[in-house]
Amino acid sequence: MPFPALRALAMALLLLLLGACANGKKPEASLFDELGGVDGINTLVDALIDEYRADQRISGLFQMTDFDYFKARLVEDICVKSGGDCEYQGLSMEEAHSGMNISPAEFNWFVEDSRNAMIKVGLSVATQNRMLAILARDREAVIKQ
Amino acid sequence: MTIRDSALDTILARPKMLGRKTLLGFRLALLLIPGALMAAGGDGRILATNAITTLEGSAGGAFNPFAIIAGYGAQGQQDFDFALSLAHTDDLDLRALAFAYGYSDRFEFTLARLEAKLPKQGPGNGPTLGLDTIGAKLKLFGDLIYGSAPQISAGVQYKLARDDGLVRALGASDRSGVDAYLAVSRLWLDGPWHRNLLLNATLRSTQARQLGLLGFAEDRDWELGLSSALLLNPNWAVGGELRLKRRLDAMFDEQRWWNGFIAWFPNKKYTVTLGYADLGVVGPFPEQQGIYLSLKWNP
Repeated sequence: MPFPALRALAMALLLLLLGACANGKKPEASLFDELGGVDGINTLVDALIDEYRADQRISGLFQMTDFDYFKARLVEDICVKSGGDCEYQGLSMEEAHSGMNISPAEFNWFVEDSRNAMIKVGLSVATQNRMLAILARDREAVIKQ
Repeated sequence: MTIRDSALDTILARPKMLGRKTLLGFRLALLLIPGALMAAGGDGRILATNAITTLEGSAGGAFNPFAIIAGYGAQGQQDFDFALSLAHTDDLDLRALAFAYGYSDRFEFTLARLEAKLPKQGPGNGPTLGLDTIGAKLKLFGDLIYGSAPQISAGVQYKLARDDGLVRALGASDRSGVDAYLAVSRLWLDGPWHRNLLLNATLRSTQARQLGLLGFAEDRDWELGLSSALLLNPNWAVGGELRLKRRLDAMFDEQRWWNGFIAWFPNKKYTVTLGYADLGVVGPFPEQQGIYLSLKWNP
Protein backbone atom coordinates (compact mmCIF):
# COMPACT_ATOMS: atom_id res chain seq x y z
CA MET A 1 0.00 0.00 0.00
CA PRO A 2 1.74 3.18 -1.14
CA PHE A 3 0.23 5.83 1.11
CA PRO A 4 0.94 4.36 4.57
CA ALA A 5 4.59 3.95 3.61
CA LEU A 6 4.89 7.54 2.46
CA ARG A 7 2.97 8.76 5.47
CA ALA A 8 5.35 6.89 7.77
CA LEU A 9 8.34 8.34 5.97
CA ALA A 10 6.91 11.85 6.17
CA MET A 11 6.30 11.40 9.90
CA ALA A 12 9.86 10.18 10.42
CA LEU A 13 11.31 13.12 8.52
CA LEU A 14 9.10 15.53 10.44
CA LEU A 15 10.27 14.12 13.77
CA LEU A 16 13.85 14.36 12.58
CA LEU A 17 13.41 18.00 11.61
CA LEU A 18 11.63 18.80 14.87
CA GLY A 19 14.50 17.21 16.74
CA ALA A 20 16.95 19.30 14.76
CA CYS A 21 15.00 22.49 15.40
CA ALA A 22 14.60 21.66 19.08
CA ASN A 23 18.39 21.72 19.50
CA GLY A 24 18.44 25.32 18.37
CA LYS A 25 15.51 26.54 20.44
CA LYS A 26 15.90 25.13 23.92
CA PRO A 27 18.66 26.58 26.07
CA GLU A 28 21.60 24.29 25.51
CA ALA A 29 24.89 24.22 27.36
CA SER A 30 27.74 25.67 25.36
CA LEU A 31 30.33 23.19 24.20
CA PHE A 32 32.86 24.91 26.47
CA ASP A 33 30.67 24.15 29.49
CA GLU A 34 29.99 20.60 28.31
CA LEU A 35 33.76 20.04 28.16
CA GLY A 36 34.06 21.23 31.77
CA GLY A 37 35.60 24.61 31.18
CA VAL A 38 39.37 25.09 31.16
CA ASP A 39 39.90 22.40 33.83
CA GLY A 40 37.89 19.89 31.84
CA ILE A 41 39.75 20.79 28.66
CA ASN A 42 43.07 20.30 30.44
CA THR A 43 41.99 16.80 31.47
CA LEU A 44 40.72 16.11 27.96
CA VAL A 45 43.95 17.23 26.30
CA ASP A 46 45.99 14.95 28.62
CA ALA A 47 43.79 12.07 27.46
CA LEU A 48 44.06 13.12 23.80
CA ILE A 49 47.85 13.23 23.91
CA ASP A 50 47.94 9.80 25.56
CA GLU A 51 45.81 8.38 22.71
CA TYR A 52 47.88 9.97 19.92
CA ARG A 53 51.17 8.78 21.41
CA ALA A 54 49.84 5.25 21.97
CA ASP A 55 48.55 4.90 18.40
CA GLN A 56 51.43 3.52 16.37
CA ARG A 57 49.76 4.55 13.12
CA ILE A 58 50.15 8.25 13.93
CA SER A 59 52.61 8.46 16.84
CA GLY A 60 55.42 8.95 14.33
CA LEU A 61 53.92 12.33 13.38
CA PHE A 62 54.71 13.54 16.93
CA GLN A 63 58.42 12.65 16.87
CA MET A 64 59.54 16.28 16.89
CA THR A 65 56.77 17.53 19.18
CA ASP A 66 57.44 19.48 22.36
CA PHE A 67 54.55 18.09 24.35
CA ASP A 68 54.41 20.88 26.93
CA TYR A 69 54.06 23.42 24.12
CA PHE A 70 51.65 21.17 22.24
CA LYS A 71 49.42 20.72 25.28
CA ALA A 72 49.28 24.45 26.03
CA ARG A 73 48.38 25.29 22.43
CA LEU A 74 45.82 22.48 22.13
CA VAL A 75 44.07 23.61 25.33
CA GLU A 76 43.91 27.18 23.97
CA ASP A 77 42.70 25.95 20.59
CA ILE A 78 39.89 23.80 21.99
CA CYS A 79 38.93 26.55 24.45
CA VAL A 80 38.56 29.10 21.66
CA LYS A 81 36.75 26.73 19.30
CA SER A 82 34.27 25.60 21.96
CA GLY A 83 33.33 29.16 22.80
CA GLY A 84 35.56 29.77 25.81
CA ASP A 85 37.40 32.97 26.62
CA CYS A 86 40.97 32.05 25.69
CA GLU A 87 43.58 33.30 23.28
CA TYR A 88 45.24 30.91 20.87
CA GLN A 89 48.93 31.75 20.73
CA GLY A 90 50.12 29.12 18.28
CA LEU A 91 50.78 28.83 14.56
CA SER A 92 47.95 28.53 12.06
CA MET A 93 46.78 24.97 11.40
CA GLU A 94 48.44 25.07 8.02
CA GLU A 95 51.80 26.28 9.34
CA ALA A 96 51.70 23.91 12.31
CA HIS A 97 51.32 20.86 10.07
CA SER A 98 53.38 22.03 7.12
CA GLY A 99 55.70 19.42 5.65
CA MET A 100 54.15 16.51 7.54
CA ASN A 101 52.21 15.32 4.51
CA ILE A 102 49.39 13.99 6.66
CA SER A 103 47.19 11.54 4.72
CA PRO A 104 43.39 11.26 4.85
CA ALA A 105 43.87 7.94 6.67
CA GLU A 106 46.11 9.51 9.33
CA PHE A 107 43.59 12.31 9.86
CA ASN A 108 40.78 9.78 10.37
CA TRP A 109 42.90 7.80 12.84
CA PHE A 110 43.50 11.05 14.70
CA VAL A 111 39.72 11.67 14.73
CA GLU A 112 39.02 8.18 16.10
CA ASP A 113 41.77 8.51 18.72
CA SER A 114 40.20 11.85 19.72
CA ARG A 115 36.83 10.16 20.14
CA ASN A 116 38.40 7.41 22.27
CA ALA A 117 39.97 10.04 24.53
CA MET A 118 36.62 11.82 24.90
CA ILE A 119 34.95 8.53 25.82
CA LYS A 120 37.65 7.89 28.43
CA VAL A 121 37.08 11.24 30.14
CA GLY A 122 33.34 10.56 30.16
CA LEU A 123 31.99 13.03 27.60
CA SER A 124 28.56 12.26 26.11
CA VAL A 125 28.07 11.14 22.52
CA ALA A 126 26.51 14.52 21.73
CA THR A 127 29.53 16.40 23.08
CA GLN A 128 31.91 14.05 21.23
CA ASN A 129 30.14 14.74 17.94
CA ARG A 130 30.06 18.50 18.52
CA MET A 131 33.79 18.42 19.20
CA LEU A 132 34.57 16.23 16.17
CA ALA A 133 32.54 18.44 13.86
CA ILE A 134 34.71 21.37 14.97
CA LEU A 135 37.97 19.44 14.57
CA ALA A 136 36.85 18.30 11.12
CA ARG A 137 36.81 21.88 9.89
CA ASP A 138 40.59 22.05 10.17
CA ARG A 139 41.15 19.07 7.89
CA GLU A 140 41.67 21.01 4.67
CA ALA A 141 44.40 23.12 6.26
CA VAL A 142 46.08 20.19 8.00
CA ILE A 143 46.36 17.40 5.42
CA LYS A 144 48.50 16.76 2.35
CA GLN A 145 51.05 19.52 2.74
CA MET B 1 -7.12 -17.67 -16.60
CA THR B 2 -5.29 -14.45 -15.78
CA ILE B 3 -1.68 -13.77 -16.69
CA ARG B 4 -0.88 -13.86 -13.01
CA ASP B 5 -2.41 -17.33 -12.54
CA SER B 6 -0.57 -18.78 -15.53
CA ALA B 7 2.69 -17.20 -14.35
CA LEU B 8 2.17 -18.68 -10.92
CA ASP B 9 1.62 -22.09 -12.51
CA THR B 10 4.79 -21.71 -14.58
CA ILE B 11 6.91 -20.81 -11.57
CA LEU B 12 5.57 -23.51 -9.29
CA ALA B 13 5.83 -26.23 -11.95
CA ARG B 14 9.45 -25.36 -12.75
CA PRO B 15 11.89 -28.08 -11.62
CA LYS B 16 14.82 -27.00 -9.50
CA MET B 17 17.76 -26.00 -11.67
CA LEU B 18 20.96 -27.90 -11.11
CA GLY B 19 24.45 -27.53 -12.52
CA ARG B 20 24.13 -24.10 -14.12
CA LYS B 21 27.17 -22.66 -15.81
CA THR B 22 28.98 -20.22 -13.60
CA LEU B 23 29.24 -16.71 -14.83
CA LEU B 24 32.53 -15.61 -16.38
CA GLY B 25 32.70 -12.92 -13.75
CA PHE B 26 32.81 -15.46 -10.96
CA ARG B 27 35.74 -17.26 -12.62
CA LEU B 28 37.38 -13.86 -12.86
CA ALA B 29 36.80 -13.40 -9.15
CA LEU B 30 38.84 -16.50 -8.41
CA LEU B 31 41.75 -14.77 -10.12
CA LEU B 32 41.20 -11.34 -8.62
CA ILE B 33 40.43 -12.22 -5.03
CA PRO B 34 43.86 -13.65 -4.03
CA GLY B 35 45.54 -10.52 -5.41
CA ALA B 36 43.16 -8.27 -3.54
CA LEU B 37 43.66 -10.29 -0.37
CA MET B 38 47.38 -9.81 -0.43
CA ALA B 39 47.28 -6.04 -0.97
CA ALA B 40 44.29 -4.95 1.02
CA GLY B 41 43.20 -4.32 4.60
CA GLY B 42 43.20 -0.51 4.82
CA ASP B 43 41.33 0.89 7.82
CA GLY B 44 41.77 4.61 7.25
CA ARG B 45 38.09 5.47 7.21
CA ILE B 46 35.79 6.19 10.14
CA LEU B 47 33.83 3.32 11.71
CA ALA B 48 30.44 2.68 10.04
CA THR B 49 31.35 4.63 6.89
CA ASN B 50 31.70 1.37 4.96
CA ALA B 51 27.87 1.25 4.94
CA ILE B 52 26.17 -2.10 4.38
CA THR B 53 25.66 -4.03 1.14
CA THR B 54 22.81 -3.92 -1.37
CA LEU B 55 21.19 -7.07 -2.65
CA GLU B 56 23.20 -6.52 -5.85
CA GLY B 57 26.46 -6.29 -3.93
CA SER B 58 27.22 -2.57 -3.98
CA ALA B 59 28.19 -0.57 -0.93
CA GLY B 60 25.05 1.20 0.27
CA GLY B 61 21.90 0.30 2.13
CA ALA B 62 20.04 -2.94 1.56
CA PHE B 63 18.29 -1.52 -1.50
CA ASN B 64 20.13 1.60 -2.70
CA PRO B 65 23.81 1.90 -3.65
CA PHE B 66 25.49 4.85 -1.94
CA ALA B 67 28.25 7.13 -3.18
CA ILE B 68 30.39 5.39 -0.53
CA ILE B 69 33.22 3.14 -1.78
CA ALA B 70 33.18 -0.38 -0.30
CA GLY B 71 35.44 -1.27 2.59
CA TYR B 72 37.35 0.92 5.02
CA GLY B 73 40.20 1.86 2.72
CA ALA B 74 41.11 5.53 2.57
CA GLN B 75 42.95 7.27 -0.25
CA GLY B 76 46.08 5.27 -0.98
CA GLN B 77 44.68 2.10 0.61
CA GLN B 78 42.72 -0.93 -0.58
CA ASP B 79 40.13 -3.02 1.22
CA PHE B 80 37.63 -5.78 0.56
CA ASP B 81 34.78 -7.50 2.37
CA PHE B 82 32.18 -10.23 2.09
CA ALA B 83 28.50 -9.88 2.87
CA LEU B 84 25.73 -12.38 3.39
CA SER B 85 22.13 -11.12 3.30
CA LEU B 86 19.02 -13.08 4.13
CA ALA B 87 15.42 -11.98 3.85
CA HIS B 88 12.22 -13.87 4.52
CA THR B 89 8.95 -12.47 3.26
CA ASP B 90 5.53 -14.04 2.98
CA ASP B 91 6.32 -16.15 -0.09
CA LEU B 92 9.97 -15.53 -0.80
CA ASP B 93 13.27 -16.55 0.76
CA LEU B 94 16.04 -14.27 -0.42
CA ARG B 95 19.71 -14.99 0.00
CA ALA B 96 22.58 -12.92 -1.34
CA LEU B 97 26.33 -13.39 -1.15
CA ALA B 98 28.61 -10.54 -2.18
CA PHE B 99 32.28 -9.71 -2.50
CA ALA B 100 33.30 -6.06 -2.59
CA TYR B 101 36.67 -4.47 -3.29
CA GLY B 102 37.49 -0.83 -2.74
CA TYR B 103 40.55 0.95 -4.16
CA SER B 104 41.89 4.21 -2.71
CA ASP B 105 38.43 5.41 -1.62
CA ARG B 106 37.88 6.05 -5.31
CA PHE B 107 36.90 2.87 -7.15
CA GLU B 108 34.70 -0.08 -6.16
CA PHE B 109 34.30 -3.49 -7.79
CA THR B 110 31.66 -5.93 -6.60
CA LEU B 111 30.32 -9.41 -7.35
CA ALA B 112 27.07 -10.75 -6.00
CA ARG B 113 24.81 -13.72 -6.34
CA LEU B 114 21.20 -13.21 -5.27
CA GLU B 115 18.68 -16.03 -5.06
CA ALA B 116 14.96 -15.85 -4.39
CA LYS B 117 13.48 -19.19 -3.45
CA LEU B 118 9.86 -19.50 -4.40
CA PRO B 119 7.29 -21.58 -2.56
CA LYS B 120 7.23 -25.27 -3.27
CA GLN B 121 4.22 -27.07 -4.54
CA GLY B 122 4.29 -30.83 -4.17
CA PRO B 123 7.45 -32.83 -3.48
CA GLY B 124 10.91 -31.34 -3.83
CA ASN B 125 12.07 -27.76 -3.55
CA GLY B 126 10.45 -24.76 -5.14
CA PRO B 127 12.15 -23.08 -8.08
CA THR B 128 14.76 -20.36 -7.56
CA LEU B 129 15.05 -17.01 -9.26
CA GLY B 130 18.76 -16.24 -9.49
CA LEU B 131 20.49 -12.95 -10.28
CA ASP B 132 24.23 -12.42 -10.68
CA THR B 133 25.61 -8.90 -10.62
CA ILE B 134 29.01 -7.45 -11.48
CA GLY B 135 29.27 -3.88 -10.23
CA ALA B 136 31.69 -1.01 -10.63
CA LYS B 137 31.53 2.41 -8.98
CA LEU B 138 33.69 5.49 -9.30
CA LYS B 139 33.78 8.41 -6.88
CA LEU B 140 33.54 11.53 -9.01
CA PHE B 141 34.09 14.30 -6.46
CA GLY B 142 33.30 15.59 -2.99
CA ASP B 143 33.62 13.79 0.31
CA LEU B 144 31.26 11.91 2.57
CA ILE B 145 32.20 13.88 5.70
CA TYR B 146 34.64 16.69 5.01
CA GLY B 147 34.67 19.83 2.94
CA SER B 148 31.70 21.59 1.42
CA ALA B 149 30.74 19.18 -1.38
CA PRO B 150 28.92 15.90 -0.69
CA GLN B 151 30.31 12.68 -2.15
CA ILE B 152 29.03 11.92 -5.63
CA SER B 153 29.68 8.62 -7.38
CA ALA B 154 28.61 6.98 -10.62
CA GLY B 155 28.09 3.24 -10.87
CA VAL B 156 27.13 0.50 -13.29
CA GLN B 157 25.82 -2.97 -12.62
CA TYR B 158 25.80 -5.74 -15.19
CA LYS B 159 23.07 -8.16 -14.18
CA LEU B 160 22.32 -11.65 -15.43
CA ALA B 161 19.24 -13.68 -14.53
CA ARG B 162 20.39 -17.26 -14.22
CA ASP B 163 17.28 -18.98 -15.50
CA ASP B 164 16.56 -17.62 -18.96
CA GLY B 165 13.45 -19.69 -19.61
CA LEU B 166 11.90 -18.90 -16.27
CA VAL B 167 12.21 -15.11 -16.50
CA ARG B 168 10.94 -15.11 -20.07
CA ALA B 169 7.92 -17.11 -18.96
CA LEU B 170 7.41 -14.37 -16.39
CA GLY B 171 7.31 -11.72 -19.08
CA ALA B 172 10.94 -10.64 -19.43
CA SER B 173 12.27 -9.50 -22.81
CA ASP B 174 15.83 -10.29 -21.85
CA ARG B 175 17.76 -12.19 -19.21
CA SER B 176 20.49 -9.57 -18.78
CA GLY B 177 20.76 -5.83 -18.47
CA VAL B 178 22.88 -2.94 -17.29
CA ASP B 179 21.86 -0.54 -14.53
CA ALA B 180 23.54 2.84 -14.31
CA TYR B 181 23.23 5.17 -11.34
CA LEU B 182 24.38 8.39 -9.78
CA ALA B 183 24.50 8.55 -5.99
CA VAL B 184 24.97 11.48 -3.61
CA SER B 185 25.88 10.76 0.01
CA ARG B 186 26.68 12.94 2.98
CA LEU B 187 27.34 12.31 6.64
CA TRP B 188 26.93 15.23 9.04
CA LEU B 189 28.99 14.75 12.21
CA ASP B 190 26.83 17.12 14.26
CA GLY B 191 23.31 16.41 13.06
CA PRO B 192 19.93 16.07 14.76
CA TRP B 193 20.34 15.57 18.52
CA HIS B 194 24.07 16.04 17.88
CA ARG B 195 24.21 12.61 16.25
CA ASN B 196 25.92 11.65 12.99
CA LEU B 197 23.33 11.66 10.19
CA LEU B 198 23.82 10.00 6.82
CA LEU B 199 21.59 10.87 3.88
CA ASN B 200 21.78 9.40 0.42
CA ALA B 201 19.94 9.83 -2.84
CA THR B 202 20.42 7.55 -5.83
CA LEU B 203 19.07 8.06 -9.32
CA ARG B 204 19.10 4.88 -11.34
CA SER B 205 18.43 4.02 -14.97
CA THR B 206 17.37 0.41 -15.38
CA GLN B 207 15.52 -2.15 -17.45
CA ALA B 208 15.40 -4.58 -14.53
CA ARG B 209 12.13 -6.02 -13.31
CA GLN B 210 12.21 -6.37 -9.54
CA LEU B 211 15.95 -5.77 -9.35
CA GLY B 212 16.43 -8.22 -12.24
CA LEU B 213 14.98 -11.23 -10.45
CA LEU B 214 12.20 -11.26 -13.04
CA GLY B 215 14.54 -10.48 -15.89
CA PHE B 216 14.66 -7.30 -17.94
CA ALA B 217 12.11 -5.30 -19.89
CA GLU B 218 12.38 -3.64 -23.29
CA ASP B 219 12.04 -0.15 -21.87
CA ARG B 220 14.60 1.61 -19.74
CA ASP B 221 13.16 3.53 -16.83
CA TRP B 222 14.18 5.67 -13.89
CA GLU B 223 14.22 4.77 -10.21
CA LEU B 224 14.85 7.00 -7.22
CA GLY B 225 16.38 5.65 -4.03
CA LEU B 226 16.42 7.55 -0.74
CA SER B 227 18.25 6.33 2.34
CA SER B 228 18.88 7.70 5.77
CA ALA B 229 20.78 6.49 8.81
CA LEU B 230 21.19 8.12 12.20
CA LEU B 231 24.17 6.96 14.26
CA LEU B 232 22.88 6.86 17.83
CA ASN B 233 26.52 6.42 18.83
CA PRO B 234 29.67 5.38 16.93
CA ASN B 235 28.60 1.71 16.86
CA TRP B 236 24.82 1.78 16.27
CA ALA B 237 22.75 3.14 13.42
CA VAL B 238 19.03 3.19 12.76
CA GLY B 239 17.68 4.06 9.38
CA GLY B 240 15.37 3.43 6.52
CA GLU B 241 15.28 3.32 2.77
CA LEU B 242 12.82 3.92 -0.01
CA ARG B 243 13.05 2.72 -3.58
CA LEU B 244 10.61 4.48 -5.86
CA LYS B 245 10.08 2.85 -9.20
CA ARG B 246 7.66 2.99 -12.03
CA ARG B 247 5.89 0.15 -13.74
CA LEU B 248 7.93 -1.25 -16.58
CA ASP B 249 5.41 -3.51 -18.24
CA ALA B 250 1.82 -4.61 -18.15
CA MET B 251 2.39 -8.12 -16.82
CA PHE B 252 3.32 -7.41 -13.21
CA ASP B 253 2.96 -4.35 -11.05
CA GLU B 254 6.05 -3.18 -9.28
CA GLN B 255 5.61 -1.24 -6.10
CA ARG B 256 7.88 0.93 -4.05
CA TRP B 257 10.20 -0.93 -1.73
CA TRP B 258 10.98 0.36 1.71
CA ASN B 259 12.88 -0.92 4.72
CA GLY B 260 13.76 0.07 8.24
CA PHE B 261 16.89 -1.25 9.89
CA ILE B 262 19.22 -1.28 12.87
CA ALA B 263 22.90 -1.76 12.13
CA TRP B 264 25.63 -2.65 14.60
CA PHE B 265 29.27 -1.81 13.90
CA PRO B 266 31.22 -3.34 16.81
CA ASN B 267 34.55 -2.80 15.00
CA LYS B 268 35.92 -2.57 11.47
CA LYS B 269 35.78 -6.36 11.06
CA TYR B 270 32.06 -6.99 11.33
CA THR B 271 28.78 -5.31 10.55
CA VAL B 272 25.41 -6.81 11.56
CA THR B 273 22.15 -5.42 10.23
CA LEU B 274 18.62 -6.38 11.18
CA GLY B 275 15.69 -4.91 9.32
CA TYR B 276 12.14 -5.10 8.17
CA ALA B 277 11.43 -4.88 4.46
CA ASP B 278 8.31 -4.32 2.41
CA LEU B 279 8.70 -5.25 -1.25
CA GLY B 280 5.02 -4.94 -2.13
CA VAL B 281 3.82 -7.19 -4.91
CA VAL B 282 6.64 -9.23 -6.47
CA GLY B 283 5.62 -10.91 -9.71
CA PRO B 284 2.50 -12.91 -9.00
CA PHE B 285 3.12 -12.86 -5.24
CA PRO B 286 1.21 -10.32 -3.16
CA GLU B 287 2.39 -8.25 -0.19
CA GLN B 288 5.95 -9.42 0.39
CA GLN B 289 6.96 -8.15 3.81
CA GLY B 290 9.36 -9.61 6.29
CA ILE B 291 12.62 -9.72 8.15
CA TYR B 292 16.04 -8.92 6.74
CA LEU B 293 19.40 -9.89 8.22
CA SER B 294 22.82 -9.00 6.86
CA LEU B 295 26.30 -9.93 8.05
CA LYS B 296 29.40 -8.29 6.68
CA TRP B 297 32.88 -9.60 7.30
CA ASN B 298 35.99 -7.52 6.64
CA PRO B 299 39.00 -9.84 7.06
